[in-house]
Amino acid sequence: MWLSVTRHGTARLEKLFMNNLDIIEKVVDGIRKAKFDAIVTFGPDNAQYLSGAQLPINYYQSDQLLIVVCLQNGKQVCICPAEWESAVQESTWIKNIITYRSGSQNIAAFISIIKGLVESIDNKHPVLGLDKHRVSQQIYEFLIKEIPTAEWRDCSTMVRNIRSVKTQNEVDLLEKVAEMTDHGINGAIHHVTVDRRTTALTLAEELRVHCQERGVDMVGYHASARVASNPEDLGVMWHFTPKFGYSRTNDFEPEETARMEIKNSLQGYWSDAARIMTLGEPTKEQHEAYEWLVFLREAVIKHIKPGRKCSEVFNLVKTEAEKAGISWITDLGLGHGIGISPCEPPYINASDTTLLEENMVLVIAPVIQTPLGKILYSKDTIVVTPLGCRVVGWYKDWREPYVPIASI
Amino acid sequence: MNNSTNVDWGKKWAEKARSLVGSPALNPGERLELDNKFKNVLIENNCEGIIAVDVSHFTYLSGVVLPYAEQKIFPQAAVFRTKNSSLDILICPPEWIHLSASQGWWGEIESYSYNDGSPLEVLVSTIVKVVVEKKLENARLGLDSSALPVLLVERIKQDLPNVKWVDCDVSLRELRLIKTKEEIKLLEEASRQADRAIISALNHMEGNIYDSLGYDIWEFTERIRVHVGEFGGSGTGNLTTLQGSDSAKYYRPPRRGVLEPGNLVRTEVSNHHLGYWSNSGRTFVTGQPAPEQIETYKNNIKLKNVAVNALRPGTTCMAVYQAVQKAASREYIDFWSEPGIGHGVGVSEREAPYIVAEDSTVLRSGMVLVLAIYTFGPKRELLCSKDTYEITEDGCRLLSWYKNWDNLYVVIGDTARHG
Repeated sequence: MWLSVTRHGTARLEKLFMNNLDIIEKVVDGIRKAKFDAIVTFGPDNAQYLSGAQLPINYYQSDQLLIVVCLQNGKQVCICPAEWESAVQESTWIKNIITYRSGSQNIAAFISIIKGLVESIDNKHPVLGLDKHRVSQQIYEFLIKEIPTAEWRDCSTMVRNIRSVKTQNEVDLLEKVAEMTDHGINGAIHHVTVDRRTTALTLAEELRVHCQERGVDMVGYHASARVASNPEDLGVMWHFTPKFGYSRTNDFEPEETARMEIKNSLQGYWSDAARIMTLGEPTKEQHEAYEWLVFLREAVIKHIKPGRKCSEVFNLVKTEAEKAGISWITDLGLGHGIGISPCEPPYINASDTTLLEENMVLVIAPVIQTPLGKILYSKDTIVVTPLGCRVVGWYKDWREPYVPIASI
Repeated sequence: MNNSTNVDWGKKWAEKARSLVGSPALNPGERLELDNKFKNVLIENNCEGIIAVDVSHFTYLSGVVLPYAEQKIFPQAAVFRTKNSSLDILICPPEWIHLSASQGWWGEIESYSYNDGSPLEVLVSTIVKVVVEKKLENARLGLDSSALPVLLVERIKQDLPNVKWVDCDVSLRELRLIKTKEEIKLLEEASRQADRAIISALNHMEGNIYDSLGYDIWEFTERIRVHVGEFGGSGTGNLTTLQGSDSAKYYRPPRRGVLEPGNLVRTEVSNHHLGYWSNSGRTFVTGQPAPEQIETYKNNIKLKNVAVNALRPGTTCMAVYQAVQKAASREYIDFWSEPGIGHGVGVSEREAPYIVAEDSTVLRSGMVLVLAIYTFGPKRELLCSKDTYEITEDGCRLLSWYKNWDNLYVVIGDTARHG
């Protein structure tokens, strides 16, 4: 099958930093259509999406919250702990930042700020959107108690839908980080060809360093690489537990399969990639397994088009895979959206009835288990186009695995 | 080839997982004290069990570290701990079955398929299924309300109308304040990994800093992450290095550029050892330090010593904070008061209690705290030298002892070895 793979230039990207990526216009439009006076957003990713503020600790220090309030008139306010102010200022487009003192009384402190903002709205009984998927029961109860004059309505579907369809600026960032990641992967695995001998750990570290060299964000947490190659590690989805940030020091052996995975971010937008390398010419089992992954990837690409439901794509691929006798892990679905979060809606599975739209960015992630029990997967980023979709970021043609004896 | 698309992979993998030999952070004997404490929480709240979804509560109650679960936009796993441990059950997607078993999870594992509904629907329906199967649909059960999304709570309450739900969040956080001896060993090891990683990265960097190309800030920072792994760490979290005027900021990603001579540089890293975290930050200077750089760093250590002297059982967190605040005022030390001067650390990188003006928590033996005092350098740089302490019967004990950082670390370019 012929695949349309696009590469992306950098010129426009340089202008994107500190502008709102055209997101806010969409959000304000959504607020007006829903007849909200404002939305109050919780959840680190929501806050990052609506402010541009990149603060990786926000996800892991759940006692401190970054909250973004968006008013119907387009005005935005960022609420954060006082010590985060300089960090937020560094990357947000929002001018109005209100801080609260960090400590044991956080909830009361930021709710009093929200209350002040709500009281400034020219409506005694404002209608406020709240993403009820993301706000905790505890905070919700506080909000209702402290701001009883407001009518709180769930805006989780609105936020999900807005986030699912990317602006062109967001697509550019996601395309670029996918490209940097694939280029980084290729840079790292070329060393296997040259060095001949390496370990899973060394390659995992090389993957990360090579992506860093290409300019991805220097952040920790989920931005990590993993490589599995021995049968025990390939028999599970997450090996070397709980050292998820690193890999084992086993040498690669002839005829092994190396399963490589890396996540990166660029200005807070993520790539999620997984690739396969065979140590030597593929064996029959390796060849067949890779063909299964290629089949599933290409089947998804073939069926993705605007107006089609995600679940319909899943079911079409499932039917075709059954006909072809392909053994794959149906319970994990076939992919997911990507953006300010490494995994976000929509999901290509049997239950997600989201209609695909142009400028959705998705990661196709089929997972198979070989007859010998090896769990293998590949991950490719695609952008939904008016007529279908295009694969982005490929530095190498991944219709074949990387083979370090002949690919350089 | 077999046509296996109708396989229930969750069940298949759960079956395989039962044969895995788990390697837990705490073995059953070491967990005993922690489990007894948990059972007291159930008794205090008169609950048959607690369902926890907060990622750190999950790790605390199950011993299972989940991979980057904090960055999932909706909770994907829950742990259901009960009075009768034989009913304990863990709920997770198929991809986390093996990792739960391999970390020594002792109970059942119930997985769900992504095809069965949205993340909210599958988690709710699986929790409901488990509660009904355990015949607890009329019981009194606890929840952690600070982590549970409103929609999840609404749906669970709707689908299990006869359960009497109790908010156990405060009890769980209170429980986590005091660490067991075995937990403290893990925290001490995480602290050691952090300091070894920082000193090793420094050693590599200082051998090269004066070559003609300089030494990249991102590479120095990356070397900290690499060394955490080399010294046995299970992962890194926050990673940043800030020099000169950038270090006036609390955080920004490391800049593309080289370390410049004459700058005060602050590096911060959080890392975990089998799920137990260290939260570290150190300051150094590139080249021979100016007298005012030495002076401002000494002031930071002076304040830390004041805090250390105040860390003892029976003192309140706010009293420790006030002691530092008074000392700063008395000694005319430019001190950044907004973040407070420290916090707890455990199965999360920042947790209660907080050493701030408003926290009246009384310090008790077994608490583990990070002293994170920020003062200003001569150019308004934020300086810190974070250390981790265990509160003991008669004071406190330093857990981040690998290197003494009381003097400003000076990078003068003559070594390239591991620390």
